[in-house]
Amino acid sequence: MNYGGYAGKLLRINLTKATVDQQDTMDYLPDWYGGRAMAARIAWDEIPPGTGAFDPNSPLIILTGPLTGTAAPFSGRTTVSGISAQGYPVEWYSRSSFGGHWGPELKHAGFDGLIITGKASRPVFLKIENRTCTIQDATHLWGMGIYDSQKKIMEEFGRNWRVFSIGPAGENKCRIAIAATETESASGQGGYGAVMGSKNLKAIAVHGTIPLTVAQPETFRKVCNLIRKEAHGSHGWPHTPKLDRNKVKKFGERYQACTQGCAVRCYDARFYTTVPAVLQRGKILSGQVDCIAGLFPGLKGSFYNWKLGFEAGFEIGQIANDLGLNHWEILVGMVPWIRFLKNDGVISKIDGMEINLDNPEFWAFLLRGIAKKEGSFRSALSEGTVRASKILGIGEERVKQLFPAWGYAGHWDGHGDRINYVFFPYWVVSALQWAVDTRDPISSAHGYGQNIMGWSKICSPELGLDWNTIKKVSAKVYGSEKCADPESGYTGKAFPVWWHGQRSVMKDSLTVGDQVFPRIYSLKTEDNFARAGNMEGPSFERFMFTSLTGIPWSDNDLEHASERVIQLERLLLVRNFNRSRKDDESVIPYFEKTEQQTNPLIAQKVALDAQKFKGVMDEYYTLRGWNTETGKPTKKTLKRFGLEKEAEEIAEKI
Amino acid sequence: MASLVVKSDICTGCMNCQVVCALKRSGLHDPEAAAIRVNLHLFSGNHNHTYCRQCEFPRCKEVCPVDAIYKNQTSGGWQINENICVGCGECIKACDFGAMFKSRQSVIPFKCDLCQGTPACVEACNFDVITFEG
Repeated sequence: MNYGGYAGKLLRINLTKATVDQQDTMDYLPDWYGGRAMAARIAWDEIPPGTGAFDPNSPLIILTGPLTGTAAPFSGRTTVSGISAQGYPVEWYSRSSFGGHWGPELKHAGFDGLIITGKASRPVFLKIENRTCTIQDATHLWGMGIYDSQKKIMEEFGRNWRVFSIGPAGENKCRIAIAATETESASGQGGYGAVMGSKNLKAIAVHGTIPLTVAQPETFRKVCNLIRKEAHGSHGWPHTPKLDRNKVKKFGERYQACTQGCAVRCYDARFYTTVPAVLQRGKILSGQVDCIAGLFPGLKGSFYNWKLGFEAGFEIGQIANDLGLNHWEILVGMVPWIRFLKNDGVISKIDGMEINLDNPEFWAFLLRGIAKKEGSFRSALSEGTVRASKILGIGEERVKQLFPAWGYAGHWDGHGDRINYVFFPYWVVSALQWAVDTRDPISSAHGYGQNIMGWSKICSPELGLDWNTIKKVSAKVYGSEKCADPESGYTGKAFPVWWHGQRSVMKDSLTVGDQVFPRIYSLKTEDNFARAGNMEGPSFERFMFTSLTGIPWSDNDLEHASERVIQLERLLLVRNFNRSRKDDESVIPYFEKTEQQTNPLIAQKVALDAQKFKGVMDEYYTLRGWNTETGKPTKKTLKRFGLEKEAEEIAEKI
Repeated sequence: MASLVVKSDICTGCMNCQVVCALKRSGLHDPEAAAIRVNLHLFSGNHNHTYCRQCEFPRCKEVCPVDAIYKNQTSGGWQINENICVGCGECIKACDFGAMFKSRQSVIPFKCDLCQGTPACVEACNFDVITFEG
């Protein structure tokens, strides 16, 4: 391997033929530098038009990046790509990612990733250890939950093995099925658990002790130390949360990293060691609660105010994990939809059981039935709420309220989900991110909407920055104060979508945690612009990348390579799915509804102005070098990114 | 006695200490080059660490047939004199904490040497799980 950080080999597994081959990672380097970037290249080359999520030949692409598992802070992540089962209106190419310790272990086993095609004739799992991979019988694991299947494999091979597996939901090709490792780290969005299930692939177990090289070890260690120390509190925001004393005492609450290399304590990443079960009486449960899973017990005084209580909510969350179901879909999409329908008088029971969100029995009945496709209603829900609404012929208007587009529930967009606080004009950026993506675009949106709100006094009353400072700091990144000005309306909203687009690719390709990167704001510098040593915050990823790999890229080089990924992904969507501006505009009606929160500087709730938004779309397409009428990359743009051959291939479509 | 103090009960399992230790010691990301190791217990959350306790009366020193283990005056910790060590491995067997490790490259084992008084693992931990008491 010519570059540091990479394991050097990719596994190519054909489950139909039961073959395992190895390919040099160098075949894709340096241009397609890891994770999502490499996956885009593979997908363009290997996913022909007409390929569906469950077609045996549809590749499931699981890739780490050069930083994965290294001393780079927040770097434990792995990217999953391929045709998404959750995608709507069609199963199309998309992506997901997960944390934990699986990706680092895979690299120490000698591999940067796997490309899995075919379908095994019976349930199998992959055993990967120190440059070998074998296909093993998984008949004894089939039907098990995600936890039990991991434990079973670890019992057999050893506690140091890491297992990425699916539960009954994935086995039954439920479109909202996850694949996960440990007790909470999941490739949640995209339905890739169902894709694994369709291949009869239960799990991927990894273990390795192979060292990874570093181009400039001392520089890399120093760079990583500086960046790690620059990290702030929860999500990279100004302050660090405190543990709940009562929960520490009663349930053993503690902080736990949701991904290897994490260097902050989060509101949203807690481990509980002793939670008495409510449904499985007599059992003491343990496990992690990350992110949206904190909503399972219900949140008093909010839109999600069901009353399960902590113990039952925790247990239901663990059941959902074990069955392999997507928390985000359930908690801010499906369950609010069910509650709307009940309150609207459309339904009162599901498959014979009274809808009662305060009753843990109801939740267990609902989730188990979805994962196992029991009963006609729950079988429909296993297709995801958007498809279920069509199948059942009910609640389409309510779906439009909760799901912006592409089969995914609202997320940091000011309209659907009501726990994330983001108001106009910041959600204009979210709306455009939704418009041009294939899933909820949150791996971009955390860097903009969440970051601004988190660093403002709205979400951080004591330590947050005033609006003037936020405007000034963000101007260093976006080139104009208007891009983060709370009173700027539609002005300056296209550039952040363009810029964070590249940053999103970087995070999923290097890989580093989305919640924390890119670093923009700081409490540790005089002007509140993030810096560490002589590095500026937005360059942190590049400094880590170059000193680790030895690839001598500038900030511009890394950004250019990342934008190339966006161009190729878009081209793939045009080639395989006829994606166009018309599709992008389908998000508009959702945002035309009045926002959930109010910008205190405007003092009234706002809805999207479609005409003005279309102007922002024009700006974005121009920045990307896409035709403003069709939303497709132009030949001139593709030439700029060295994609002339690809442009030629679909000349009639662009 | 200079020593690392590790509060495993508040460890988040991020692995930074182990990864950075290996990087400093070997210039590689090598799980087998780390002199502090995090034993993750992913389903119970009760992680623990393997590291040198810098014992007052170390078993490793006691069993060493060539007296290769000595107190480093700079760091205040026990260290192996690689010029004397014959690689018999008795110290590996004797350590009650499993903190004397086999090396990939040589018969000479290795242990935490407290990085000459500025331990890399302490620097790498953002949560004060690991501190250095000199």
